[in-house]
Amino acid sequence: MMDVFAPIKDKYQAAWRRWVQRRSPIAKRVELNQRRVFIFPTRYGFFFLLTSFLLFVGGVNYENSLILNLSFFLISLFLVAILHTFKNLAGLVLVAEGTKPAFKGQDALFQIGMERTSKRNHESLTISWEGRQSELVDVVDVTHQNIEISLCTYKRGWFQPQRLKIQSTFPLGLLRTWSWVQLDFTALVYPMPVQCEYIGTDNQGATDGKKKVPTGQDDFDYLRQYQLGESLKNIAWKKYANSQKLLSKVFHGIASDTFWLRWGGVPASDVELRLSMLCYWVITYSKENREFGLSLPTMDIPPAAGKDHEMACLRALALYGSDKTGVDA
Amino acid sequence: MKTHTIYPIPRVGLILLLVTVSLAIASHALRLPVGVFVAAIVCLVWRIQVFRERWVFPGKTVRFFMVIASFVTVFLYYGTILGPDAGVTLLILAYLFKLLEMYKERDAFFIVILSYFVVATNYLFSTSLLSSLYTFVVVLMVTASLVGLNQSRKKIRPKRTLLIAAKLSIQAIPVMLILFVFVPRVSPIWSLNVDSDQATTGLSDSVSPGDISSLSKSDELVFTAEFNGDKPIQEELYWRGVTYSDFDGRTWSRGLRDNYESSDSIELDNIDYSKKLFEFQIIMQPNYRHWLFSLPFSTIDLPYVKLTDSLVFERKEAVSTLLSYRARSHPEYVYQRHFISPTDRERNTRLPATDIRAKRKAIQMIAKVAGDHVKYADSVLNWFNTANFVYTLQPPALKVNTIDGFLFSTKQGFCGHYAGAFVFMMRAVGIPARMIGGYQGGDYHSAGHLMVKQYHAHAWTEIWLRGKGWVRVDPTRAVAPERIISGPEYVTSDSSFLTDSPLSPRLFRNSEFISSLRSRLEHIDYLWSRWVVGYNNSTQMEFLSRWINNVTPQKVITIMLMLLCGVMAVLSIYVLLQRGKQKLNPVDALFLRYCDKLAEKGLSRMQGEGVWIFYQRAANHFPAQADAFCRITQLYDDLRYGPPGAVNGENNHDVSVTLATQKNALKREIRRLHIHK
Repeated sequence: MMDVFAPIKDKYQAAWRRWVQRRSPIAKRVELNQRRVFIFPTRYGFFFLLTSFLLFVGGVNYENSLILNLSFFLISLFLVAILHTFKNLAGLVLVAEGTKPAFKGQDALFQIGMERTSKRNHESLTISWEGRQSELVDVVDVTHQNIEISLCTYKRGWFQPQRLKIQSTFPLGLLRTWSWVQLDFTALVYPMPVQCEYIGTDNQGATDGKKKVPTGQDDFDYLRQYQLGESLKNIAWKKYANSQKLLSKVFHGIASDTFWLRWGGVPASDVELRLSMLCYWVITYSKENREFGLSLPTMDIPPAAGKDHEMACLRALALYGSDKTGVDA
Repeated sequence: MKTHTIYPIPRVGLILLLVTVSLAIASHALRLPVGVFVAAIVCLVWRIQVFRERWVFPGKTVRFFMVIASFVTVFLYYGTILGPDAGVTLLILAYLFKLLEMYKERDAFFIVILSYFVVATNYLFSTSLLSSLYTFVVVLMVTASLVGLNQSRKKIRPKRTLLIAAKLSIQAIPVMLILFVFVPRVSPIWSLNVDSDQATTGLSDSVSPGDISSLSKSDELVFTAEFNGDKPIQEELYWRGVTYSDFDGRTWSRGLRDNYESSDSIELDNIDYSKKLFEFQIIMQPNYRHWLFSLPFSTIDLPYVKLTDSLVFERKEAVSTLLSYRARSHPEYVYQRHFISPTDRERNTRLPATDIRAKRKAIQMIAKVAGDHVKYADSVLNWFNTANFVYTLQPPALKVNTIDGFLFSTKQGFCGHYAGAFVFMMRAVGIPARMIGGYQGGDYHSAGHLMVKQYHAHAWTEIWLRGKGWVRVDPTRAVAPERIISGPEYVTSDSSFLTDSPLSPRLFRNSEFISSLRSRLEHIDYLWSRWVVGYNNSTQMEFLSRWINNVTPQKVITIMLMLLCGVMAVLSIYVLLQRGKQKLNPVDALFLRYCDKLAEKGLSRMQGEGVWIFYQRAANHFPAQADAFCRITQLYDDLRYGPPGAVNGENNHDVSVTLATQKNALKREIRRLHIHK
């Protein structure tokens, strides 16, 4: 039976998704207007209506006008609450403020701005997003309020969360109003760092001579295969005399602890694991404030030190193998 | 101990909820046993201590013990756990105990719902305007607690929560009013009985000498009557309530036969009546009795009401809430003209074997008129009138042979004594006679309706004469005719009248202010009873037919839905398009007040007119105040457009102090400003 209905169900779900998508397209800034705001009674709301019905029956049976009136009051309060609950969400603007990258498996931070379009207050709002729920947020007597939500990351690369749900039951808790919002938000997810031994030697790994321009000429670092176009001054003529191999001398600019982290320098064959291990070394070297370069099959990052360099390396690791390397967060 | 994760109730929500619970219980205060208040204090304190994390919620055993204890206590107190009083007490105890079982959000919500029921049960006992206003406050607090429960747990002032609740409640009122006016009143789906054991004043199932005199001390309202068209004169206002046919030598009582279940509605064919007709609407205060008051002979428009063979109304349910009904009375009627049943005759001539002197006197007197019943009755009344009988509210007590004692030794009494003695004298010679209890007269309110109060309580008699049927005879009239013509306060020379009601308007006839105030309050109360509490099917029809031709339920519902749509549309526009208020800068507000003062004197500032240009004009107009205008304008200018350091004064303490003094100076200047030429 399930098989019979599955296509229908899929079709229905796809249609529903399209419908929601059409109503709230992806954007950096989304105003919650009546097209996007939904409202429905909560279970308390239904219980409240049941109470007013019971009071009505009681009022009829005891022929008591005042009990009847109480029941009418509850019904009226419910009707008024519809307007106020709706109003509490409508007119709010959600803005994709910014994200903080995270290592895979950790939480990435998303900062959402809430702005009001009028002087109207928005109270006791919560955001449910990717299985997380925020605290109650108020946008009361302020025009802007930021809220940070951390979402769990499962995959390296660009992380674009599903649409979020912002909801509220304020003021009476009898009705819930909500809206589905797809904010244009992406967070960068670095590989999960995996500790390992760095086994690589300098001769291994990628050799793209053109790019690896040594930063200095004074300190001799190591020898490597001569490639056409390299300066003849750097050829180790003595070695050539001994071994008939044309090798060029590679010099290094600063300290002798300048490294190249190379693709082959970590003990793993799996790409993800390799990236994780390189990630570990990027962090470790940065922590020790050492200068290092990163060499990946697709790109090389020349040796450098500092926070920006670390970021660039982590970014390269995060986006390794993805098409969207050019996308800026 | 089990560990529960306790719902972190918002602080404001809890405060408001506890206040609500206290207020809701207080509305029942006078009916509840003292123990409930002890329980209330314990529960409230316990709940607060739990919130302060000093104590924990009671465990299962304690709660079980509390439930059992309350059932036992209620049973011991009321003798039952059913019935309205015991039921309400149990409801309130459950309501209190629920405070100590608030583990989840839904428990808090449940308390809110219970609050509505506690308020609703209050309406079963009291429907006065004052208590209704009080319950409105309670309902407002319930709503506020609901708001409090849905606010974030951050620090919020309860005032804000209350304001939100007040706004919601006020906006709910128009819809409520439409529903109240238009929702068709249906008759009860099933019958509920609120026989309460409440102590009530008023007539009872039996009457002993002196009972009615105690009523004359009270000015409690019994019912109001609003006549359509002709109003009867005072002497015709015999509001019939109960017939007392059985006499045991001391007490007159209504027979068991006269209740709703065992009596049959009489055939109206047995009654001959003339065309003369009074129509009126009665609003009866709850008396927890089964009888209704009306002028004889009348028909009324209520279901489950019978007109018994002694021409009194018996209602199936006791009157436990304000009851409103329309009656049509034919004052000129003859009932059972030629024949009464042998059982009726036997019952209405039966006497105990006491009071031999009175019986002997009766036989002497009927012999004198040669057995003529009419002449005999006249001679008895004549005897009452001439033989030094005194009408008093404080007659001497009578022990045994009450009739003999009254007729031959004390000769002082009240309507009950005279009526009792008269019926006795009639029965002694075989004339069917019975005592009627009810109210005589009433006070016309300046708004036109008649108010009948406990001090109008009266007892009179009815005798059966062949060819005339049952004839009303009021022996009190023979002794104190003013009682009937002018009202009870003109009769007695003693001071016992209305001693229980020190503020009665009857005692303040000379104080214009108090009596007019009383009269106004009574009128408001009457309107409340008539149009709100007494708004039943017939009142609804009466009210709606003022505006709508040919009222039909379909028409009413259509109009109601149209009005509801209209009100909701207006409300939606108001709520959803409301952009919030722009807060005025306090300095601007002060300056505007200054402008208003000038505008009052005919000089208003033009749109966009600069403050200094305005000053020039003002100084020209009122040269006497030019200096003051200058100071005000200068201060305003400094405050609003002064150097930037002064504007962002928060950073600099000294600057902010000067700002504050300047603002105060401006305020002072504007307050002192008196503009004249």
